[in-house]
Amino acid sequence: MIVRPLLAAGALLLCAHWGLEGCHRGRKSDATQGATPDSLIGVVSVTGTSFEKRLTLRTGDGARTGSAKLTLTLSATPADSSAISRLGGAEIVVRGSRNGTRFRVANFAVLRVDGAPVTDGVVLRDGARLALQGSKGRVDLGNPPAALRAMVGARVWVGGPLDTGPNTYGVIVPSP
Amino acid sequence: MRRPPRNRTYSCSGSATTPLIAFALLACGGGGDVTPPRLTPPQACTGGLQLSLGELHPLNAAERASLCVGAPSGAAAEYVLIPFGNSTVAATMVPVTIKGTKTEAPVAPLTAPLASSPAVDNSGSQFQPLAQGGLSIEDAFRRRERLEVPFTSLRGRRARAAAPQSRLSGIPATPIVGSIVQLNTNLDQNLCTAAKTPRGARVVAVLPRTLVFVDTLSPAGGYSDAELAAFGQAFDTLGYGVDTLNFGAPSDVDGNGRVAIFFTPSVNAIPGPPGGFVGGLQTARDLFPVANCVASNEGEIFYLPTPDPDKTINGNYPSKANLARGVLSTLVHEFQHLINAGRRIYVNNASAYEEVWLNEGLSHIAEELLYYRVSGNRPKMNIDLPLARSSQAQLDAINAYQIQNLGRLSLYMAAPETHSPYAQNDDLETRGATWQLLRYAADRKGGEERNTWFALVNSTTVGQANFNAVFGNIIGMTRDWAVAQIADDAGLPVAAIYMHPSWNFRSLLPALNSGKFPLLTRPLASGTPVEITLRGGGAGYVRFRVPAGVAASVESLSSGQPVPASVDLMLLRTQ
Repeated sequence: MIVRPLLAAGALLLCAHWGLEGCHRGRKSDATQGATPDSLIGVVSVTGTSFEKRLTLRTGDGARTGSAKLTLTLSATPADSSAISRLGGAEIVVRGSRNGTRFRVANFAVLRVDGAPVTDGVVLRDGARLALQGSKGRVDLGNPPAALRAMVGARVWVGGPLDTGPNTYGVIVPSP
Repeated sequence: MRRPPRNRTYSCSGSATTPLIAFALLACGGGGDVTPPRLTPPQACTGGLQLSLGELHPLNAAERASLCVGAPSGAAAEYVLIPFGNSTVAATMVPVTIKGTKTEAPVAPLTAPLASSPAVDNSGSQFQPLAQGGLSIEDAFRRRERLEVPFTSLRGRRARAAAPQSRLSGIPATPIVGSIVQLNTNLDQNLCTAAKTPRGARVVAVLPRTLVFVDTLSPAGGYSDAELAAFGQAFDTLGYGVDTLNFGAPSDVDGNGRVAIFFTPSVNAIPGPPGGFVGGLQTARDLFPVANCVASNEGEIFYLPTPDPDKTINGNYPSKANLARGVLSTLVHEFQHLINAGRRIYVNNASAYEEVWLNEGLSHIAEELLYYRVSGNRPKMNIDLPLARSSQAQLDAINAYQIQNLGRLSLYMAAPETHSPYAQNDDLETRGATWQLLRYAADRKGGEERNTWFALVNSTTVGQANFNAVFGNIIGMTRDWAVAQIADDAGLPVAAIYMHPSWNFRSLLPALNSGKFPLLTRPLASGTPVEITLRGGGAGYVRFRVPAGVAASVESLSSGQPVPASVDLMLLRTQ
């Protein structure tokens, strides 16, 4: 069993405050040093068995339906692996380095759920209001699900109109 | 990995009833500091929608916001409102608030059939509730992160597979009983590149379809050679046939025409919390040649733990009898995984392994199929508690091969709002739900059942696409299945698509749950809103009563707004 090192958790915590993009750039060196940066969009799939799970990304035609011709095996830090494993069925963009059918993930973002765009970010509290801090800046949540109030610091994706709600959401990284 | 068996002892006179795990459902924290936009107040509710008993009514756009539902004069009516999360992404969460006006809490107990039929007598149950210790080990174990040889790097492997190697890592195809061979026992780091930990494996039995090995370093007090050979014989004559009939023949990368069962304490050594244990496992690494995967044992092989009565490794395997009871069901479970992976790699040329939720669900189907074979029962018999208790043989069969499916289903039913049959995880609740959804879908599909299972295992697609191709759209199927959870065997004249024809869960599950049918329902009393967080594929069950001659209103909201399209709302009259 792989025990996640405390260092990884710490890095993730910093990530929440620095914004996702910057954090990921900082982490990129260990995973992709010397490799050509690459970017792919696809749907996350967790395959295998309980004993041997694999993170894969279905890309191209049929990605959403599970009949994609190209399936890549993803590898990432333990923390990012855990995060991506919570995104089964969601469409994400991964950045990192590709080697054949393997893809080493340096960073990722959730793009769409059920074909509809969503916003990926860390839940921030600003007085009485909540906001999402994402790679492109901060977005206020006008009428968020009540459950998000207990998730400050968590990385989530949120769907639906952000200004008025109602919103769907999913947890990517739980609150520290 | 095979679900760990739980400690259990059953007899026709036993009736242990330890409560199941208590589930604490957290209410949504109230926001309050942001005022949601106000909606137009619902119009006065008079008369109202009236359904016949057992009628299911999907709410239209107007009814989703405000439903006016009535009861005939002279008789109260009871309903269940079923919000269903229709997202294909099971991780999708959506808050739903249900408010009732003039509604009352229902009076019909859920344990009894809802439509005033006599209650099922669950006294004197022989089923023993599940032990929590057995539930938790996998929760920790599954957090392993694996990076195996990429699936597609074995493309072109069919040619290799066609050339028999006549060996399992250099072992003769028909080894001599009593001889000792070397097998890699490293299961803690089962990456293809991980260092091998070769250990002596003594050949105990050579059967037509099965080889049985035991680790030479097994703790004292373990299985005798006769017991080990009997496990092999049971698999060879029973389990092998059940799985191959339904899922297809396994690959044969070692060209020996057999699968190997290796009893080794390296399984015992897999870390886990006290009281839990790993029933067994197989690993896809062994299907690859060492040229691609140096840690491979190069053959179809299962790993099972050995009894450890003196607790020399840990305290998880002290009872040989308890461990032995789960061996055959473990083997058919793991065999499905082995067939699934092997055929995807070597026969069907798929581009990926099956998704975990469907893979595990199919292995739980394998256990159920073994139950049918041993008990002599068949699907669509609506197996109930009296049948399960009708003879010692019936009781032994359900206790040995099916009770874990029922136990996991019970866990799911305790939290159906926040669990989904197609969640991309292997939570026990997910496994219970997936097994039941597959059973429901196969019953509904009809025809020769083995063709259904064969189609699922021999697909080149994965997950929902695979399911959809065999059964039709998974969302619609899951929505109907969610209705069946409360409508089946409830004494209601419901359509066949809202029934579980193979199992009478309302009869059986109370025997595992302290006499209660475990489905979580929420009463809707006037002025007391019900707060639900729904997952994609999850369903809530909000029950209420409308007094005779009264029209009640029911509002459904999400964060104060109309419920989004990712939630379906259905109304079922239950009394």
